[in-house]
Amino acid sequence: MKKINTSLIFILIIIFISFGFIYFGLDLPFRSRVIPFLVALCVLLLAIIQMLFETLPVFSKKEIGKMDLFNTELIKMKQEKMILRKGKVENNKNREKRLLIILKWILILIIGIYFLGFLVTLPIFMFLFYFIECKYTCTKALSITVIFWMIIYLVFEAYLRADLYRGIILMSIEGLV
Amino acid sequence: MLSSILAGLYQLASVKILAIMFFGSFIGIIFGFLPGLSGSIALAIFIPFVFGKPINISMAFLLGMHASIMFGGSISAILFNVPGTSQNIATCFDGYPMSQNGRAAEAIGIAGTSSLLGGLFGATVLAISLPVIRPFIMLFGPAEFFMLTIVGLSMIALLTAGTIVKGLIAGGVGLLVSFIGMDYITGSARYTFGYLILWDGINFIPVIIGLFAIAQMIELYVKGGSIASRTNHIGKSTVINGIKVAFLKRGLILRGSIIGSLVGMIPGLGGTVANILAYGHALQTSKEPDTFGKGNPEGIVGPEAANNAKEGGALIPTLAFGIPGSQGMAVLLGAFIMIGMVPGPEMVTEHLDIVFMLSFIVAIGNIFATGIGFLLANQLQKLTMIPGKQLVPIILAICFIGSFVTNGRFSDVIVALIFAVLGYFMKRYDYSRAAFIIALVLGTLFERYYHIAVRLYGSFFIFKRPISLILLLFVIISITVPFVQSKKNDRNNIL
Repeated sequence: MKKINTSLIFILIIIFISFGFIYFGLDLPFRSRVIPFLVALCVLLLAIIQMLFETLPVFSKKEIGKMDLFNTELIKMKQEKMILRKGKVENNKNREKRLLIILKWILILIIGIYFLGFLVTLPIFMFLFYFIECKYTCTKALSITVIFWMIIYLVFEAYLRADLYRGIILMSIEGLV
Repeated sequence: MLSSILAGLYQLASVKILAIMFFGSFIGIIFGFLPGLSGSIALAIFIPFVFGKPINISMAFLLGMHASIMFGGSISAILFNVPGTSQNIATCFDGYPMSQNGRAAEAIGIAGTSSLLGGLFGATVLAISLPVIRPFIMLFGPAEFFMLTIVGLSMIALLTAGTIVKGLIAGGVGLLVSFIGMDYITGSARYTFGYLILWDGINFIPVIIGLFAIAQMIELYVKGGSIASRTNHIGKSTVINGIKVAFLKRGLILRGSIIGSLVGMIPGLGGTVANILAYGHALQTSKEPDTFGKGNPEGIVGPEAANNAKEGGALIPTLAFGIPGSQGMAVLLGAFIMIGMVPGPEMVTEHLDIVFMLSFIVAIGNIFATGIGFLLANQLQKLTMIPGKQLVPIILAICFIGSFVTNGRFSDVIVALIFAVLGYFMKRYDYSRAAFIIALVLGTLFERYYHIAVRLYGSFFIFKRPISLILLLFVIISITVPFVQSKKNDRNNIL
């Protein structure tokens, strides 16, 4: 299966965003849309140029590869390169896996905050993170969590009265929603 | 004059007031260190505590605290890539790479010394220039403000010299994001999709936290290890080294302080602009521009001197005309009025001793803040050796709380998440986050002042206003000279 070039996807997202700014600006008064329109157009052009930069060398590499098929020196170099690339691919796979894990944790944290608020979610999140990810013992994870929670509570709730977000469940119970 | 100076100093000459100022500085460092808790929030929280107290006690606490916040913000910027306040953005660019190189204590030493000298410069400017500054401030109008934003935006080209297309894309997207919200010229809502929360535009703090701090934590987890991955400098990195390095760059400190004071004096621009302009200036005048973004001390010296010098500068329009130059100054203005001090021309004619007292508070507050920072620096450096996995949940929690507390809106937590993902991929694919944030900060000002300047002076306003024209020439020279020089160097290398 052919590997998808993720940097190209990133550029495509930028192109999509620029189009969005141009399209959704069409209904605005002229003075409001003129500068965003010009900036979005410039970003669009630059993104297309960048896309060309990133795709053109790929094509040229393929051409070189075809032309020097019987050059033994080059084949040797290619083999060495392939071994290096294999290591890099494995490293990349590992990186992608770890990226997905941390994004999953962050999503759990955000969803937790949304439903249960900071003061309930943070200790649960921290305990689970230290227990599952860091492989801490139950006691160690619990003690770090308790200390951190107490600091957060004392600083933000008791002292600064920051009124941290309580989450929709608690707010609905309190009759605030 | 001398009697006013002595009277100002006399009002602070007691152990009790110095102790209050020290306590204020300590609180200021903590508020600066925690992302999302800015100077204006700290002032708003503590004003009720000093209400009814004598003016010297209340100002010693409030202004001492306010003067220390910037240095607190630079510590978290250096250690975790988390700018404590938006005015520490540029400190992240080279401060965090220094931490990664195991030179966190040295970076804190540089930041502390530059902040102290910048703060002292700002206090001196406040004391000297208040009686004579009015004509200078009146020279700046919308056309000049617009050109100053152009000067800031031109830094993008310098910052991203190696990857100019990607840098311009990042800057362009930053500008586009800054256009979200209510257009002040026509009164129409742009790109808000019917969401009321977008009418005020995208809040800087969650964007900065997401783009730099959370993205950095994602990167740290993905990469594994600790922040200071290259530990060869750990033993050698001390605050003393940092102080020495900062004193070697005293010319840059002076220039950064001048930039900071000037930007501070002009209402509406703010410390973030001062920080960015000073970083750009440090980059332009450096002999090693290639090492910027990789841990060049000059990248800390200029911006840190500027954002602390800005405090003294920003007090000038606040005290002399009652015009606050920033959000923090607006809250401070409220505090002045609450404690019975009415800013205005009388401050210069009748209450000059108070002006000098405030200058001394800014200066002493900076000294205390730097002292506290230096005492803690070597211990704080050890935080960069903790495995990333253990730091990630704590920093993530603080970042999301920081995003929330700025405005008390859950939507800001989502904004931080979106920009965290964007920031991670921008870093991964080498799109400058610095360019993005510069454009985001300056975008709103750039558009607003452009429209006002066109209405006031016509389409060719730049050529009708001498200071605008000078700034335009400065932009052209500052962009072209480094490119011409690098071409010359390339040619010399080939020969």
